[in-house]
Amino acid sequence: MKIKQSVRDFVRTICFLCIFLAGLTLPSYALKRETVKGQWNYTTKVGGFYQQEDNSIEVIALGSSHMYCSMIPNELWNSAGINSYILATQEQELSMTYYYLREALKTQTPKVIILETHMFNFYKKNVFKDAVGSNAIEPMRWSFNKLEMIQNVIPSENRYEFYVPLLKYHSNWSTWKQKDLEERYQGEMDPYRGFVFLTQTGDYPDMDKEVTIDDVDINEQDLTYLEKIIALLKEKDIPLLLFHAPSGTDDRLASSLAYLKEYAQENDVMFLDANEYIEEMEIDIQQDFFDPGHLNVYGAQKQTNFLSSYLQHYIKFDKAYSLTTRNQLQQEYEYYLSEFSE
Amino acid sequence: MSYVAYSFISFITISLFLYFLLPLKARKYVLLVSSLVFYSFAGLDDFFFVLITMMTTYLGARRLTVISSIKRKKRLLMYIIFFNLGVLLCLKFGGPTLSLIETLIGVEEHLPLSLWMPLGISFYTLQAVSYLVDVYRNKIKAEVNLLKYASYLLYFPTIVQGPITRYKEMKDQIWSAHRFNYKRVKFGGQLMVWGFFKKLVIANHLAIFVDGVFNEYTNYSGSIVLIACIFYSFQIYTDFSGCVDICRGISQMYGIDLMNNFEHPYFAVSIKDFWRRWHISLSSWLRDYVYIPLGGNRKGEIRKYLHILIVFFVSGIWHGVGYHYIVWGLLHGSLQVLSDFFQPMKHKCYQLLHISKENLLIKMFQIVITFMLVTVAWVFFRSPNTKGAIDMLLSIPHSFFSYESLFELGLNQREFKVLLFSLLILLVVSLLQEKIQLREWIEKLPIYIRWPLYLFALYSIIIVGVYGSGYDASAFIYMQF
Repeated sequence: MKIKQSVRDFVRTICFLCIFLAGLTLPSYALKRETVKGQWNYTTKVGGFYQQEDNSIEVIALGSSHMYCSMIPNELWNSAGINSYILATQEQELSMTYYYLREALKTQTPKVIILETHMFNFYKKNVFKDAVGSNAIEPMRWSFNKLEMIQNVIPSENRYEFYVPLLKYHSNWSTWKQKDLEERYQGEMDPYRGFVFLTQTGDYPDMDKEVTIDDVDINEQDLTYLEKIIALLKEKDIPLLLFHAPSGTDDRLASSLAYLKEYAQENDVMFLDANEYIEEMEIDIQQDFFDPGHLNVYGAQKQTNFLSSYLQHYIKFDKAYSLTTRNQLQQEYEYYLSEFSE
Repeated sequence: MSYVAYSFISFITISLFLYFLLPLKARKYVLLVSSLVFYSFAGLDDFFFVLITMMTTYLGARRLTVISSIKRKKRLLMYIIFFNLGVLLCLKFGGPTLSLIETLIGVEEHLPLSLWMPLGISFYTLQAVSYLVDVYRNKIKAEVNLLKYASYLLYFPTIVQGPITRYKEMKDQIWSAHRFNYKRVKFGGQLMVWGFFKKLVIANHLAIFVDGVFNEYTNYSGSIVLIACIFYSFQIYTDFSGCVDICRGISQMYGIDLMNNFEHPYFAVSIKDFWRRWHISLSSWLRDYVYIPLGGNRKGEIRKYLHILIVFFVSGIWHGVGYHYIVWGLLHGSLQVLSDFFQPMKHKCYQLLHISKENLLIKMFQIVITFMLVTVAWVFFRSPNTKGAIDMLLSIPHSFFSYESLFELGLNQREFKVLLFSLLILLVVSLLQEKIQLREWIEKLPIYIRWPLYLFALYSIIIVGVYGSGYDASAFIYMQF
């Protein structure tokens, strides 16, 4: 009799918990933060990657804002017929980039991976920024990669809110509008394929500044994740290009860049410091920068053309895409052109 | 680790699972280890202080049982009490006192003095003193088992904010093996949920409004300041009683019953009645270990009034550093003395006017008056200093009405509506609790009413509760004491 009662209590508890959890799905969906509009629409940009045809992308570019400001996949398609995608979010740490790479390789077999290097030792100590973590993690689909990323990248006291985003965004209830439901991400493509379209010209970098490198204090965590990235790509036999986008520099950045250059040589990894080719690319320092650290779309066009030649020189691309993919790439290029002309 | 932190929920879940999964004999150790783990989050420095209190009172109590001379016994008791209270007072007042001395003698470079206090020291010191005095008074036997005593003193649901428990009530409960009891766990869970509702939905919303107005009351009209004062009364109640409900709920799940620290204090009909309902464990501690040893009401009317004032003075000091806490305590003491003094006259008036004490209108009037007096006293408690409190209270009649929007003080219209609805729920629940055993009553409701009720409570907390990384005022008010 007692056992029967206990079983009944247990079943009731489980049923209650199931109803409770099921009931949470609606507010979780309605209240979560999504960036589906504007130039920095990471939800659409990262979400759009999942909409791509399997094994169709030949160039995957990873990194931070420096990456999504300096390469235009639409231009790469138009000039070289290469299908590429940028999987980058603001100030994305190398640790996060590693999980992005793992996630990308689940469905794609690219010919090359481009890894932008600004975040390597950008800060000597990795200081967790909630917004950075949110932009990188939230648009990613739930998977073991995402769970592992949260576990390994997010500080323990913040982890709960990444595992259960409702805990973080519950306070949106007080400003929530019916309209918010209509603006949910619905599996759209990002026509710019991860590129952030910035037309403004802002402060330009001081490229003539003398840089003195007296200490190379490498962040161990970044180095560990770089080693993991290299190991994973070697295992998959995919070449890696460490790419430093055009930007102003300082001692700290220069010291890590010098270290990386040497590291790349030792590990048989391609390395391209675009700052060395500013003149060759015909980048106008006063017109082609959005701010001292990032190119605008005009600068990105020039950078893409240069990158296109560089990649084609070192990598052999198949360019054998299905008709659907070709049509999609062409439509996206036309959309890009129409926006560009505006 | 705060009682409303995500990590605390994980901690409790793991601890409870271990407690009921391990054999009966091991369960008391799970409780002790849980308390040690919980306290270890506070840091080694904090641990050092609780260890000192534990060892001095444990060894002192053992020693008291072997000394036959009453004089020597008393001397030892005093030494240990003064030592422990001295540590508490030094930590509480040491920094501010040195700062004051530095200012008075004109030291330009101040010493780096922090207001650091070991976690729960105000609470566990009182528990340790009560244990020692009870051993001295032969009310309980000195504990031989140090682990059992440690379990009592470090018991994690009470160490941070009370209730201030007595060893006599706790010793058997804390060292017994409790079997899993579905109803107890369920009732404990309900109490926890109610505590979270009070803290996260009511107190934390009120805090947003109250903090904004109290910090810059000169910018607001009298009506807004008055609302903030009233809101603070509710904030401190829901904050403190919410925490106690969470702690009692957790304890109940383990099979341990803690005393109820609150009996709807804002239904009190006098200040005396208020203190019978507010922070009951502290009131009874002060009665048993301060008021009665001073002579209580056995030494004449004047001495009785003096004892009441001393008790409230001690209560003020215990609550915090600053004259305003003493003023708050003495205000309550004075009101109680006045109430006692005029009591016979009040009764005569009632008789002359043929008014029954049970008259509902009279009761309501008394409740409102008591609430207003308590609210005035809370202003002294909440303000950074006495002058600030007086200025704030005096500012209420000036420019009382204005066209300021209530919804521009940190809470928008939707949040304000939810807050008022939550306060209404609090009132209804409190009224029901006065009449019936509410949890037993809910238990008898059909499942199609009971479960939606539970779900409503849980979803309310998760969705409209104020918590998380974007909110930094989630610490409980009474944690600082």
